[in-house]
Amino acid sequence: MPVSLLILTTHLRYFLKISKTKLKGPPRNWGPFLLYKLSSVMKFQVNSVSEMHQLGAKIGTQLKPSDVVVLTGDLGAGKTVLTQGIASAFGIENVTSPTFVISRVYKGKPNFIHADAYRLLDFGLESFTDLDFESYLPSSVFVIEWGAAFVTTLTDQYLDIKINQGLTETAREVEINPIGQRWSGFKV
Amino acid sequence: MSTILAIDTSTSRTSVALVADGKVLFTKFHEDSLAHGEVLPKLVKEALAVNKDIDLVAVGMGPGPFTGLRVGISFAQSFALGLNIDWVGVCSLDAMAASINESEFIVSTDARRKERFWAIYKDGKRVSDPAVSQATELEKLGIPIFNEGDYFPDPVLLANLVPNTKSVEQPIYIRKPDAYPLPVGVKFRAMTTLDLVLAAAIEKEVYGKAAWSNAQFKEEFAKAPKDAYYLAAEAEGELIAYAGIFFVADVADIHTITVVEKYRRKGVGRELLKRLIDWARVKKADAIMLEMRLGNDAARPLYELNGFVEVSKRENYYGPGLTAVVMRKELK
Amino acid sequence: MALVLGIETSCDETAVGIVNDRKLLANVISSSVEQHARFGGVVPEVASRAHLEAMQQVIKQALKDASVTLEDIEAIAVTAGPGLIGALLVGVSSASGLALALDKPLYGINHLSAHIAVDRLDNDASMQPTIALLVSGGHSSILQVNNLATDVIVKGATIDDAAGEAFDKIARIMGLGFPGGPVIDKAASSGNKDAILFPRGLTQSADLEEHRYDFSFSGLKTAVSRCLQQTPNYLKADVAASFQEAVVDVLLIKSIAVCKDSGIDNLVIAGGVAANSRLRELAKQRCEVANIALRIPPAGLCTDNGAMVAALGSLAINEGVKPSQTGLSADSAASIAQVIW
Repeated sequence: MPVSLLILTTHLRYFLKISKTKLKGPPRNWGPFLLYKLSSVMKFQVNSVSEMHQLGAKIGTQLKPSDVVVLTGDLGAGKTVLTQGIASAFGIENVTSPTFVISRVYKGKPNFIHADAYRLLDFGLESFTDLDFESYLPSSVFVIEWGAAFVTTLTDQYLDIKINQGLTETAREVEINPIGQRWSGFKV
Repeated sequence: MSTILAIDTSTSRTSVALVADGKVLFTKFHEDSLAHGEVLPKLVKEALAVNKDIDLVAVGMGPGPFTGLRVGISFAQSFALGLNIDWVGVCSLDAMAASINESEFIVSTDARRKERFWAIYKDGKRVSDPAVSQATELEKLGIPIFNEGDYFPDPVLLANLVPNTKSVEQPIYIRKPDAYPLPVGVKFRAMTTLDLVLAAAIEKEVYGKAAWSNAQFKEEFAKAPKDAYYLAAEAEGELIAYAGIFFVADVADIHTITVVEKYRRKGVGRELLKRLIDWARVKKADAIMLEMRLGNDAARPLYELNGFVEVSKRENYYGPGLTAVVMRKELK
Repeated sequence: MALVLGIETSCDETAVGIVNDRKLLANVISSSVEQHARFGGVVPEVASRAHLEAMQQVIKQALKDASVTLEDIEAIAVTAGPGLIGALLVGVSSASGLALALDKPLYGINHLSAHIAVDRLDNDASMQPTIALLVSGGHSSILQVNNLATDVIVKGATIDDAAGEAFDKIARIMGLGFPGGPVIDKAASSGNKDAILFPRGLTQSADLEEHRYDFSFSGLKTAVSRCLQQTPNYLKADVAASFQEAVVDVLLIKSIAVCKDSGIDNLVIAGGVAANSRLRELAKQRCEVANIALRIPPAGLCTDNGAMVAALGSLAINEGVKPSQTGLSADSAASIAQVIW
């Protein structure tokens, strides 16, 4: 069954108008014109475990080394299912919840690191930096469940994904918020 | 006759040297930031093939990325234990500085995300504690900087440093500045009776009908410091936030965390909560509880991110139709 | 005869055990639950930093308890995976250092197999072949163990959460504390296990094809969570008991099915969850009825420890398995098929 899409995108862009008659020296706002702000949030309606998996696979095919995906959602929301989908794009099929062990490194090119910061929520940022994910960043792709509180110690460019309850018991709303220049133009 | 096995894994390199009374019997390194675990035993085995009568182990204690650093230190300590000899820790930056011939300079290694581990050396001695800073900040110091790349912690120099330096017993972990720095100019201190009047006024403005009265405030405040802890946050000489927690029968209860409108979403509430949690731990509470208004969405994520879980709801707690959500954080 | 020192640092515990073949001589575990609180919070026990701090002390204590010296040790065994990579590296590096200094062989051990191997200690029961139910915080699988040192096959595993993890999560939302296993076990003892019928994951007829021996605890987790939300005045003891029953029931249904289908009527239950009193009780009852020889290690040896690592090390020596090459690699996601490397 195809994933049904409900995309909500908002783009903000600064346009510069130059009037020929006023051209005396460099136009005002020449700098900011180059720095246009792109804000693009995507929302998906997902109706089954298999659709969640498919969505994950679509995301996974686009991930590169140094990419970090953060997943937020209640117990049972489907974070691990989404991760299984993402991992399948890297040929990894046996992904299970890493809550207890905190992180699993699947060696490869790139490494696939599946982490769950749930147990660290009670402790400070140090409990996360102690994991030394920074050392692995250049050669790995990260999916971090419950990582929102910690991710900025690792990178300021990541894919922020929230999984919320949908209209029915088995339905979910997946909101994807790309943060940082790396993700400009990211589409699923 | 003193043969020293020297190890450093504080950078992307794994390096090993064997030095006997200043004479280098073996020195080798391998470049790979994630391979220290596999590489170190191999290099040491090669060193042992040259000479296995070792009197002392010297190991670089950082600063550096944790993964590699811990490989070197745990190996060195256990190796020394196995041979029943001593081990000595040396600051890795010192082993890098020892090969540089300048009167005053900075040695710096990669701390990722454009940050550097660094220290200042003058006339051959380190004159600052190892620290971590933005590379750009380092340049402002106006002292010549020697970066990792041209220079590395040299295990031979590490071994040579041993006789003249005190052993560094603990790994040199340098905490990077918090990703969420607190707003500039906000001070935290214990609350005093002088603050009560102002706090009660803020209370009324923020909570309206549900506000605690002056008398209630005073009563709770009187329990401090033994069974209660009240904190204030001040900016520009004015009270901008306050928080209180009290302790009853093994459980700590957060009375309030209140931040004036102007200073919200700046990390003040988070810092207050953090300090309250620390207090509860010191008091050896089993858990911390709090109640908040259902629909008070702004605060809830803060509590959840700090390990609070909803345990029940109390209808009409704050008044007719106003439900309280009870949350709890286990400490044990 | 083999005097083996085993090191375990795959997750929370820094542990060292010493065995002499099948005899347990020392078992020291540093679970830094009592780590001193510093300003800024307690350093969590999983921190690799904590492993490094505890390691030397734990090794020394184990030697003292066993009344042996390092010179007496004939081999070093260490958990090389699966687990938390930073933690594993501290154990592997320590073990490598010891082995090189002592010039003794080093065995890189699979944490999961070690849990099963601990059953060798302090008895001379013959174990193989056997079906093994391995249930802990991080793992839930059913294995066919033809030779624990060399030949282990996965028959079934969890497709989402581990059983122990389900205990932890449910305990947390019930406000019972961490770790969840012991507190739920205790709460359940005064509760009615039949009060609520929670789902037994992957036991529908549709599942028998594709997931015959697999587990799924995610659905159970959400069912309990929903029940708690919808029943504000729930009785903790009853929810705990009913939840626990759902887990234990499905663990046993599946493992006994593997026994029956494979014709191997030996069952070993190992891992942290094997310390659960209801699992031990119900396993005994059902195995008796099904004519299956059941073995469960003493509860104290079920949770992570170094003795289990040493036990597998000594088995490896007996079986003539070659020791690790210098430069043993830690593997965070090692599969059970990799027993010793």
